[in-house]
Amino acid sequence: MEFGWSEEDTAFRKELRAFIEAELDERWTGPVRHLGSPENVANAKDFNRKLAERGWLTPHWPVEYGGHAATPWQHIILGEELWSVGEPRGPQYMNVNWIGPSILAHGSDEQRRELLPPIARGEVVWCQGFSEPDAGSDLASLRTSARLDGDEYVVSGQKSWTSYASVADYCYLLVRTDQAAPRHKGISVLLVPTDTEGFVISEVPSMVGEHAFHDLFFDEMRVPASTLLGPENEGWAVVRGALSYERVGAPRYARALVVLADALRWVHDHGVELSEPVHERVDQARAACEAARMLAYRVIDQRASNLPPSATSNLARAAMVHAERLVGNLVFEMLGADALRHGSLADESFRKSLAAGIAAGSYEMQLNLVASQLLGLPKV
Amino acid sequence: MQFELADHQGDLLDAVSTLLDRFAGPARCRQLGGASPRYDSELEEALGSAGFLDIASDPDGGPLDATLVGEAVAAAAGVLSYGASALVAPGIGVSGLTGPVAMTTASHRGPVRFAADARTLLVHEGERVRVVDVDPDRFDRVPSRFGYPFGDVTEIPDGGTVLDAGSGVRMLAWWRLALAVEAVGTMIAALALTVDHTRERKQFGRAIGSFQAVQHRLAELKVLSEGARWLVLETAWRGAPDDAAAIALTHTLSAARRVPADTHQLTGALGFASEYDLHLWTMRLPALSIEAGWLNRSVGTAR
Repeated sequence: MEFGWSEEDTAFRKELRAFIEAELDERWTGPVRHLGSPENVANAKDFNRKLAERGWLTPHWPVEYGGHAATPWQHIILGEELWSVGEPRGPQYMNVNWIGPSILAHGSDEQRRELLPPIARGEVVWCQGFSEPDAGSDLASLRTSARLDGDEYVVSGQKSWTSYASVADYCYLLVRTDQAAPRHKGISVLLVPTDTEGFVISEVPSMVGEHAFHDLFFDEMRVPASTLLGPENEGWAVVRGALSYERVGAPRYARALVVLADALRWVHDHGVELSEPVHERVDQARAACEAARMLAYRVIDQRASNLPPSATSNLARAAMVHAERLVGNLVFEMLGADALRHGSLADESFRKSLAAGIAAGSYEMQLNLVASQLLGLPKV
Repeated sequence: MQFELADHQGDLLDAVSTLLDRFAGPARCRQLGGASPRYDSELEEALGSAGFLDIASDPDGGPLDATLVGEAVAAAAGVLSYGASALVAPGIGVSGLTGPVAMTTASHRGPVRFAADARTLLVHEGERVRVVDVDPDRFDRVPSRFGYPFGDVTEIPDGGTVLDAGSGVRMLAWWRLALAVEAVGTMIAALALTVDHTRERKQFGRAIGSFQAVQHRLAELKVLSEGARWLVLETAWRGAPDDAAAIALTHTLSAARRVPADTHQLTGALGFASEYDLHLWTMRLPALSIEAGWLNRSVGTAR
């Protein structure tokens, strides 16, 4: 057991910081830290191309698909550094963190050749078609169907709450290919271009930000059978692997620490005296972020040791949610009435913290998995 | 970075576990008085003879190894000043201490862990530390049911050796770490016992641990206590930098404050029974939290 960074990783972080300092557009460095809203996709693509030129968009991928075969540690360093400047990769982090690795693990040679290089070059955006009106936390109850007809799948159904769909080039789409099978069986993954005829996208206005959510409608949409990722009807195993990456792929604690630092700077600049109880809560929130960081590192360590995904990723995700909520609530007390101004640091961080416990599997689902898999408690 | 134990650390923990099975554990703690225990000189002697009190300054060991042992000692409800002897003293460059070590600040008056048995008192005096030899029974024993033996430090004895001007800062950092180590071992043991109970205890025809309301409380304690544990281990590995030690203790106490109420709630009336082990750990946590409070008043919190 030891907790040092290798010389290589330390040098990588240093170089990356210098790169960010030099290349980051000022639109990302304002007081409000955006999580790559779709209107910033063009900026994100610019930034991603620059990252990709250095092989830093996908450093942990194999060389033949545009990576450096770097350790997973460089992947989390990238995540930490970029989330702490507002995640200028935009929605790209999904591709890089779990959609790409999932294609790498389960894709055919043709899928890898066709789909991975554009991700590594930062040219494409993916969205994930997971949730449905009646399948949220209980994802395995999804009903969007795909029936094989010759060499095509015919897809019908609805997906909900899909982020970035309006700017996405592809969708990582979960469908039911066997209606009669038990619910965890009979699910498959299709990799679908969003310009496919019959791929209908409708924006859902929300309090999180403009264009954040979408409904997807499919009425007998036809896609080639070659869009299937992994074996038919075994999509649940494929997606479970993807989700374990998703849970720590976004090091939200790094962003929460920056929000806290920004709020402390605001307090200082405005000559505000914080009460002792608020100071204590600042310490507690900062400590919770650091604890989440250690739990995320533990997951990365397991991945670096080629261990299969485990419930430690649920532990890490729950810790991140806890930390982000502490920060989200605290910033109000630090900013006082100024928090109420549109676009204030508190306005932004509060909305993000409310979403933290829902994205990537609800907080309650994370706790369920911690209880059953790490504590050995009986199924609910 | 490597989260798994190195081979030598695995061997170390195997050895300490064998020793703790023989000399410590809830039964031994109860023999010493349970929640109002006497100091365990036999355990101290056994750990000392095996070299476990000197691991932090051993070239083949270090503070992380001492921390792993300290966690195991706390989980076995050991009644000795392991943190002061094995982490704080080496951290401020004091060696060769024998017997119980108590720690206090220049301004604190009142109950101090292990002071009634102490041979050495480490006094935090701002920038410096004063190391004072004390006679056993120098401080009156304080009747208490908070898991440790306490002595009533009504005044700080004169004399002793005053350490260098940086020693005060170093002592605070190692003291914070030592408190966090003790609290982590303690709450992990309390949580493990409670998880076992909820798996076994049946109501309404099913294990109470199968109810989601119960599972979520336990899972949240797991999230908090595991986060605290890794922060503590990382801080020890880094040699207890001030800021890291303060952060590790802060998070550990956030977790520790929830443990007594939640574990007793889930254990029901059984948890209050003297013959049941839970209170041996839960009653200690407020004592550690109070002691941490003196440190905050001395230096301000981590910022």
